[in-house]
Amino acid sequence: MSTIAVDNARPSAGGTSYSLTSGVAKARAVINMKTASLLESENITSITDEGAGYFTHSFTDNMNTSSYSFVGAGKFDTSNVNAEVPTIGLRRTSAANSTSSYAISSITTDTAAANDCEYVSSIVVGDLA
Amino acid sequence: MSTINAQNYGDGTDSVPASAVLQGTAKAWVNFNGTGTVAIRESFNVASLTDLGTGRYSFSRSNAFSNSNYSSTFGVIRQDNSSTESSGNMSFQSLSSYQASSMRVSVYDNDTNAYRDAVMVNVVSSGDLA
Repeated sequence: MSTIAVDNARPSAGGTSYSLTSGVAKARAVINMKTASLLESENITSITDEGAGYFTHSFTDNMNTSSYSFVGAGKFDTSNVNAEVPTIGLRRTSAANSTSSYAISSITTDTAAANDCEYVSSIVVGDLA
Repeated sequence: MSTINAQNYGDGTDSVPASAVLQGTAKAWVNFNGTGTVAIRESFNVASLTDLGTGRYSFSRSNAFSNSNYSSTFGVIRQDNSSTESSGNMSFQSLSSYQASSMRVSVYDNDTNAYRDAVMVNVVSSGDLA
C-alpha cells in the first residue's frame, strides 16, 4: 500500500490551505440502539450496550489523546415521521474521554428518561495515535 | 509546498471525487470545557474561546469561512456519568452571530428552562474557507 504524505490542501482555484489530516473524520458510525446493531461504520470495531440509550463505540485504531471532538444525532423511530425528537448527547464516565472509545447517550426530551433510538449517527475528528 | 492535482482519490478499491475530499473535510472543530474557567482542550482552526455567561460561548476562527452558510454540528456533555444529565440541548445562539469568522453556541437545560454550563462542548464545521 502506498501512502501520500501531505500537510495541507486547497482547491486548485485558490483559497486558504488547510490541514487535510486534521479535518478528515477519523471515525464514524450509524447504530441501532434497539437492536444493538452497528449498521455502518469506519474505524469502529464494536459497540457495547451499556443500558437504555447508552452505547459505547470502540475504535479499531485509537485516538492519540482523549480531547478529540465528536458529535452525534439520532431518531427514536425511523418508521414514524412524527416520533418524538430525542436529545442526543455525548457521555463520559470520568473527567476525560477514552482514547479507545466514546459513548453516546440519548434521552426523551420531555421526560429526560434514557431511551434507545433506532438510528444514531456520530462522527469523530481529531488525531489518530 | 507541493500540490497534488487529481480528479479522484482512491485506495485501489474505492474512489471519490477530489471535490468530496476538499469540500467534505471538516474545516474547523473544537472540544472545550464549558465550566469554570472555560478552556479549549483540542481544536483545529479555532483561534479563541470566550465565556459569554452561563451556558453561552463564542469562538473565533484562525481562518474564516468564505461565507456564513457553512454547516456545523455539535455534541455536549452537561455532566459526567449520568443517564439523564449526560445529554444536553444545544443550539446556535442566533443567526446574526453565526459568522464566517466566529460563532456563538448555547447549552440549555430543558428541565429548568435555563442556560447551563457543560463539562464538554464539541462543534464540527464544514464548508469552504475564504
